[in-house]
Amino acid sequence: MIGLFVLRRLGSGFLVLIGVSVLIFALARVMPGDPARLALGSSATSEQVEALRLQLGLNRSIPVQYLGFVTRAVRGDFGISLYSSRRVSTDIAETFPATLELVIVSTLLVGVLGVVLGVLAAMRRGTWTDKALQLVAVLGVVTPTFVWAVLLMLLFGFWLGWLPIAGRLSEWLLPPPHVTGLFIIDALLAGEWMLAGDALRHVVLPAVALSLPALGQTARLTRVNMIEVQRAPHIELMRAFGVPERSISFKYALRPASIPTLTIIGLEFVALFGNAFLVESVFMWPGMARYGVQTILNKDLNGLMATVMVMTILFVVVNTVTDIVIAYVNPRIQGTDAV
Amino acid sequence: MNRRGATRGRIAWYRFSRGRFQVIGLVIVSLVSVGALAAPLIAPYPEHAGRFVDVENIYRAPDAQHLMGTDAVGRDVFSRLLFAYRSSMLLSIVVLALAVPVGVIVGLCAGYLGGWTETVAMRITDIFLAVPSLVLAMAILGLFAPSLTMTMIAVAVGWWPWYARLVYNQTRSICTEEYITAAHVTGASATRMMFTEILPVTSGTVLTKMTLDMGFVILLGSSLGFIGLGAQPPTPDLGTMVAEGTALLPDVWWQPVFASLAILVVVLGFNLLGDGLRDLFGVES
Repeated sequence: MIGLFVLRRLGSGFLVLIGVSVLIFALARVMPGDPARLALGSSATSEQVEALRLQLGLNRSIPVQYLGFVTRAVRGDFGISLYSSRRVSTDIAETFPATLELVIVSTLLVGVLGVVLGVLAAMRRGTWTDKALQLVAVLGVVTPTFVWAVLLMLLFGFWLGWLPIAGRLSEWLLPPPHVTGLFIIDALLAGEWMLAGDALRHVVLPAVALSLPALGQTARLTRVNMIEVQRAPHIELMRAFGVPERSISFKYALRPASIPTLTIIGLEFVALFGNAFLVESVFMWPGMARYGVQTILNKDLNGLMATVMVMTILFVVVNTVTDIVIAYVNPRIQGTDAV
Repeated sequence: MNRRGATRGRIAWYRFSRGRFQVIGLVIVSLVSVGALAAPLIAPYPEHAGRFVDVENIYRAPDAQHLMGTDAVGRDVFSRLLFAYRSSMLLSIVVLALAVPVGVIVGLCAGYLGGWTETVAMRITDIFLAVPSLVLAMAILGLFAPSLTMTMIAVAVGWWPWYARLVYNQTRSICTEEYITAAHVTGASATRMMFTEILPVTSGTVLTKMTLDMGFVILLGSSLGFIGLGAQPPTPDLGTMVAEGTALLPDVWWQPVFASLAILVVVLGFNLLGDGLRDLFGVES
C-alpha cells in the first residue's frame, strides 16, 4: 500500500517537473526580442546574430527546441551564462550549496522554534505570554523579509557589532575542504571547530531574517491545532489520569497537532527559497538566489531558466519526501487523494 | 425581508466590532484607502510624486515642513509614500480581480466535475504552486520590461493557483452534503449546481483570503520593488523607496524606516481585518 502511494507521489512530482520546464521554456520564448540579439548586444551584425540563431537552434520548430532544452537540461547542461560568461552549471554548482545551507538552517529554525512557540502559546492560552507570542507571530508575517534583513543588519551588525553582516566566512579564513559544500558541516567533518563557529555566526542573521515570516505562520498554525487537539477525548482522558500538562502538550498532543504543520513545510521550504532572493542580496550571501537576481537583472536567460529549474527539482523532492513522511505519521492519508 | 437583512447586518457588525484587533485593522485599511485615493488632494507636496528636484532640501530630517523628511533629490517622503500607496493598492486590486475569478472557476470545475477536468486542472495548479510567486513574478518581469501593468500580470500569474486549491478543497467537501444530492435529484444543471449551490458557500472563505491577500500582494509588490523590478522612476514605489534608502543607513534613516513602516502598517491592517472576517464567517484557518 505504501509502495503504491510512493509511486503515485513520484509520478505526480515528475509531472510537475515537466510542467515547470514547459512553463519556463514558454515564458522564455514569448518574451519580446530575439534571444540571439539579446545575447550578442546591439553592436553585433545581423550575420553574427543569424549564425548564433543557427547555433542555438532557434530556427527549428518550437517542440524540437523544447526537446533540445530538456535533453540538455537532464545532462545538467544549461548553456553559457550571459551574466558571468561561464557555464551555468558551474555557476549553479558553486552557488547552490550556500543557498541550501541558508535555507536548511532557516527551515530548522521554523520547524523547531515555530512549533515550540506555538505549543507554548497554546499551553498559556489567553495569558499575556500567549498574546505577546501572537503579536510577534503577526509582526513576523506582515513585515517584509527584506525589512527584517535590514533591521537585523542594523541592530546586530552595525550598532551592537555582535554578528558579521556579509558573506559566509570571515575574509581571512579559507573555506573547509569541499565535501557537501555546506560550510558548517564541512568544517565539522574536518574537525575545524573555529571555522564551523565562524560559518555559523555568518549564517545567523540571514537565516533569522529569512525564517521570521514563516516562523510566525508556523507558530500560529501550531497554536490553533494544539488548541483543537487539547479538546480531543484522549487528551481529556490523560488529564483525568493526572498526566502533567507539559507532557500532555509535548508528548501526546503534539503528534496529531503537528500533521498540518508538516503538510505545509514543503510549501514553506519553497517559500524560503523564494524569499532567499531578498535576503541573499542584502547580506551579500554568495548563493544561488543572489545569482538568480543577477541573471534576472542582466536578462541572462540561461542562468534564469537553470535557477528556476533547480528550485523546482528541490521543491518536488522535498514535497515528495514530506508527503511520504506524513503518510507514515498518519497512515489514514494513504487512501485519499487529498494533498 | 429588507428589515431582516438590516438586522442581520447589524448583528454581524456587532460581532465584528467586539474584536478590538479587527476594528484596528478596519481603521488602518480605511485610512490607507482614503490616503491613497485622495493623495493628490491631501499630500503636502503633490508635485513631488513625479520628476522634481529641489537641491536646497536634499536629505532634510523630519520636521514640521517635511513630516517624514526628504529624499536624495529633496522630495517630500510623506507625499511620495501617499502616492506609492496609490499604486500598491491598485496593484492589489487588479491582481485579485485577475487571479480570483480564474482560480475560483478552475477550483469549482475541478472539484465538481471531477474526472479528467479535475486531473488536468489540479496538475496545472500544482505546477504553478511549485514555483514561488516571487520568483515567478521576478522571472516574468525580468524577461519583459518592468512596469506597473506588467507587475500586475506577473503577480496574478502566480496568484490564481492558491484560489483554485482553496475552492477545489471546499467544493470537494461541500459535494458530500445532503442538499447537493437533493439538488441533483431535482435535476439541477452543472452550471446551476456550481454557481448557485456551491459558490455562495465558498464565498466566506474566498472573501477572507482576498482580504488577507490584499496585504500580501502589496508585500510581494514591495519585494519586487526592493530588488529593482518595481515601478520605474520617478513613480514612487514602497519597495524601491526602502532599497534606495538602505545604502545611507544609519545616518539618513527616515526614508527606509518610514517606507518600511508604511508597508508593515498596510499589510498588518489587511491581516487584522482578514482575521476578523475569518471569525465572522466561521472559516477554519
